[in-house]
Amino acid sequence: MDILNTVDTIPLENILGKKSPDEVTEEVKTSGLRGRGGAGFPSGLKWSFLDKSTDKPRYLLCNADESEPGTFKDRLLMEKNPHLLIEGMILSSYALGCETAYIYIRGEYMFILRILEKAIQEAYSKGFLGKNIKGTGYNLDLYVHPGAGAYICGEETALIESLEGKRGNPRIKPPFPAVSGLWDCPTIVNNVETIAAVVPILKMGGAEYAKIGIGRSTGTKLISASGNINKPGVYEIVMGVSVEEFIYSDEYCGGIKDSNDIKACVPGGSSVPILPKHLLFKESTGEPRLMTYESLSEGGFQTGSMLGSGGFIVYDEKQCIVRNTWNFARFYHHESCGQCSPCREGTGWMERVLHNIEYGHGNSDDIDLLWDIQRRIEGNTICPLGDAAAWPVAAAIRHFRHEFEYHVKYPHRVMDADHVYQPEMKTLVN
Amino acid sequence: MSLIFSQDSMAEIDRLITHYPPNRKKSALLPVLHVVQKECGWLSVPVMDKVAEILSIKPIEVYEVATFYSMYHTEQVGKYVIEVCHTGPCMICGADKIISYISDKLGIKVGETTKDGLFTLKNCGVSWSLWIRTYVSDR
Repeated sequence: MDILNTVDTIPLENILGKKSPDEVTEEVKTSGLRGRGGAGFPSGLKWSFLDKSTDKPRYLLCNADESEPGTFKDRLLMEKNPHLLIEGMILSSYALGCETAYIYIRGEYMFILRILEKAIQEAYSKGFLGKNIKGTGYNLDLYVHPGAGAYICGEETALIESLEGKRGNPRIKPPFPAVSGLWDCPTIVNNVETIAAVVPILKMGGAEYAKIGIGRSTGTKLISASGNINKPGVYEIVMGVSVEEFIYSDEYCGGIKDSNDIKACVPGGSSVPILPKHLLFKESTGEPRLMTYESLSEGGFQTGSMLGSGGFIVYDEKQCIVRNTWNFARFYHHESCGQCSPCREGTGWMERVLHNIEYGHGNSDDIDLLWDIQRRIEGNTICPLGDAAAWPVAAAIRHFRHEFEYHVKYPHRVMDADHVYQPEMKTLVN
Repeated sequence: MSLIFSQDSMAEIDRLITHYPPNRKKSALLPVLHVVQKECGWLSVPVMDKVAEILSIKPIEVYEVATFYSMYHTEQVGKYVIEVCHTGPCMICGADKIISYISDKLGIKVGETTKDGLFTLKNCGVSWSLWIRTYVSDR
């Protein structure tokens, strides 16, 4: 389904001035749209939290800081269809009563910032932005603000700090941004894909949009597929496609590269728990696992994971889970902002322990130590980066403990960085 | 001698400042640092002090930001900075081999600059499925 990959949009005059801002918000609520950045919080509900009791200006910020390893969906949307995002920004700002909006884009996407600025310039010259948009009396200024290479700025309060020209240190909540955000004014932060989806919602109506997908997972979702698959790329799926179909169908990933067997999959970006093959295609109840918020998280972290941001990373049988876990731990250690001790110290500690195990210097206590460290990070930090660092380590130990044990038991076999997973690993450990 | 940025850079800085309310000039800090880094190649203390003067903020407010964000170079780098992503998805597709190839070819390790000052090799801390980034500065 191509509802985000289209230039077929809606004349703004049909909405601005014709529908009240509250009616627009209602359409978004009816659509069941949920935040596409990872948390999956209902977007219309988030909008309704905006504090409208003050005279302060309100701001809409678009979170285009997409930095999660494995996630590159917003990049494609902004690169190939920037006007859809701009139109979504106009409609969303109108609903929220904002007269200034910013797109916070990661610094590495500087070339996309140029594309967006060009498209914004076009919108200004055609009267879609600026004063008295299309004669409706509504004013909106839209700007793009670049980040400079900090994953943490994807967290909404860190993003606000960064936009204020400071280090990206997340704020303690409450107050939530909807009450006190950018420059202490009421602020809504939404992901690129969420804001883009507002356009088709208003075009077809919230009720029609809600018919796409399954249950509370309405609409389409952009999935960025990477790893050992035949056709890596960004796919727009109707939520409810089965995981098996998504990986093996020629319409999507096209199966595993070199006809290898699949070992595991991280379905929603590096911070969500990894799922082993036996839990990937079927839920714990035996039902097929689907690409929806609910189905992917079925069974909690014992047997499930999360849809997250849609960064779908597939691992074939030859990949080393310990090496992958160490790689992610290194990333989170590098990206921790350093405010909270459990995250600042814990991420570095996990990286060092995992490095030791991966390079054959681990001992049998290290696996329990790792479990202990991640448990002490999770839930004990200001922002969710701590959780994001802890979950992949916990899931790797939960589902692939035998690989860790193999590394500890046979250090000489894993010294070489290129070591591949040996199928006999499991039997050797047992 | 006091430091002066080029007319083009100053014009761009003036444009960026207009994106924020008049009493919130500090918000332009990140975009302005990108502009001056492009002109100067890296952010030396005199460059950062000048930025502080332009935005009417304290120099420490610039230093703390410049050292926090990984895209700002607070030490001199080569004319071309090659950054290779090595997070999970890139690693399983062979990023480490690409890094060691470039490293062998240029005779430098990650984080080093070639003797002729042309190339710096860095790890891109954040992801893209496979991506090599090159900055060109006009020095």
